[in-house]
Amino acid sequence: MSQEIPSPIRSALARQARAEVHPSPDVLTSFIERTLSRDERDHVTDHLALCSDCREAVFVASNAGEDLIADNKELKAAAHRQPSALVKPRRRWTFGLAWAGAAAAILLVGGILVRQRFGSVSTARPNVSTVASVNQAPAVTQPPSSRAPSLPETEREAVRTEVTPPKTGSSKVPAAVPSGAPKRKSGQQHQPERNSDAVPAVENVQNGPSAVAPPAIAAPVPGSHSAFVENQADSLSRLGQAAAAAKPTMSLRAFPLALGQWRISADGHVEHRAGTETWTRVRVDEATTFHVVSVVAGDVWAGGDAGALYCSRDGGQHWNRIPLVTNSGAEDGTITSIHFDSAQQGTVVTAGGSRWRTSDGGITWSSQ
Amino acid sequence: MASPSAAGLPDAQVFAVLREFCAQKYEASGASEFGIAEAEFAEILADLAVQCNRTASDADLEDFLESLHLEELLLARACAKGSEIAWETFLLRYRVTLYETAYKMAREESTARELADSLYAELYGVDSKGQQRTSKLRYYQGRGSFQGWLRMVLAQEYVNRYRSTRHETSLDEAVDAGQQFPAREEAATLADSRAEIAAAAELAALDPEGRFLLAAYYLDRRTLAEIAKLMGVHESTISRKLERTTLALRKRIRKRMIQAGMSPRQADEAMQDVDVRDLRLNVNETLRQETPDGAFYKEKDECG
Repeated sequence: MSQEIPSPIRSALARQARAEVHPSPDVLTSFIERTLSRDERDHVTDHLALCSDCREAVFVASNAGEDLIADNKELKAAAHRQPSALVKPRRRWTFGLAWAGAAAAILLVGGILVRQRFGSVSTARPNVSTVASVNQAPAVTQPPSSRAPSLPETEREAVRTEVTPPKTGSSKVPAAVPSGAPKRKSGQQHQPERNSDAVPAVENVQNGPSAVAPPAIAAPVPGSHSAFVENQADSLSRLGQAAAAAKPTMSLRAFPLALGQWRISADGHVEHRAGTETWTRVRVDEATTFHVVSVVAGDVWAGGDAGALYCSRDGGQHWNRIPLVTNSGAEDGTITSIHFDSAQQGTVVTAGGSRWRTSDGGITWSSQ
Repeated sequence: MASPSAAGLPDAQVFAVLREFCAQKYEASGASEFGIAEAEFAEILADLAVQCNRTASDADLEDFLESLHLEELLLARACAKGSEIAWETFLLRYRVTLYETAYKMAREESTARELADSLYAELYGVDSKGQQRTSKLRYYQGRGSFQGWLRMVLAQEYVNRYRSTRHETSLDEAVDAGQQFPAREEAATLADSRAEIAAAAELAALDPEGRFLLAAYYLDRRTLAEIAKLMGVHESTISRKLERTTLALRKRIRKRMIQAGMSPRQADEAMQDVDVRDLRLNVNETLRQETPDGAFYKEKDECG
């Protein structure tokens, strides 16, 4: 679609009377999040039509945020919420039907032609594939984590590759930030403490040696409390993928990545070991029986009875209880699965079948 | 604490609603963890309700209070007050996000870090004399998510910086690029101002959404995907809406020009993409919608 319009319209657009009072960042945020009332939304839209500064800020913020209409469900929901004329016009379904018919006809003719021309080749194909499969190295099949519990402990030990955890920098607590005020002289940009390591947690529980596990995906532990979240080979490959994917932002995030292993003990406690050390119990919540532990992008997640979901962002030293709450109440089912597709997108499933999703790295969770 | 009476409901009624709401939500909001007492909690909410002019009726006030992101609001207020535990929570939850967002905006590490650091200093809130805490966090009202608010404040900071530096181009580069630095032309005038008058009138009659789409697409050169993401609809919807709006606008402008005395042919010519030199438009000037640098620093305590 061309971005050219007649000059008189362009000129008139640019000459519209300016609005001097900008909406607050709160209001603009609500506009992006589509939580404004219709009147407020119209008011803000009107302002945005006139104010290039706010338009630019809104687009910059919107582009830097998550895609709110990533999946079709949300798109439909957004379309229902849209009070405007944007969602009213729809093309007739016959328009799509015409295209579908044309595409089907092309595929049909193409298929017939291919069949006529290459029909005899099909008998030779199995031979080719057989040879290929013989020559291929045995596939390194990563057993799904759900199969891990069925393996005996000794076998699992054999699969694991022990890796010495890299030395992480000292965990500088940004206490200097809250207590020691950053000093900014006039005309000089303040440079807050740049801790490249873990930030301190709110939580009350502190644990032993600093060790942060690599990205991984955990599985529920059906029938048994003792199961490894992952084997190390898997964690290494995932770590490589995560590092490659996060390369541009790695230096900014600078979360401490240390290798280690996590498991739930037979009596429902979270345990951790780094390298070849013995397993050490991690104090998360003494009153909770845990069933699943998961590690993703340096964050450790543990789930247990009564909707207990805990997260540690510093390798298990500090833990935060993450509430799973809706307007109708808090989750009280036993968490049996914690699965993260990425550092931001994750799902928690309970024994009762409840599903909770997050799209912001576990800061907020919504019931599905 | 602001007096609610100015906004509609009698004070007593507002306080009654607030008291009931606070009694229900105080524990769950986590205010006590940040050292915010129930009375202070109520005061914060009352101030917000008055600032946002949401004390017209009980229902309006209740809706407003229910819509607030309470836990995040209290976290922001506690940080603004200097609570260490609040700051630790803030750092834990948002520090990484802040830097990542800055990187997404600036797409360059040092700029991103500078951007995030400067905002961080403003959030921490130390004035130039270092004596009084004037944290930007006190402007957070809990209407949108805190993360979204941080992103928006960062975006505004980014736009401010971009605006202030975009005109700083090297003279050598400009000359190399072929810029001739001509003498200033006479005041630009349209060959026939009737076209512009008609366009302005019809544009003013357009709905806000239509004008916003036109400005975003034709002036700012935003892509359909960007606009669609912002509006929460599919980009084909935006495309159709733009097409329809532009077509209708052209027709109405043409009609208005004819009513103003132009012949149909003249109107058609005026609506075509004629050479800008014929119109003698100062394009740079007409496209300028910017405010002076640092526009977003004109913070207001009011909503909207």
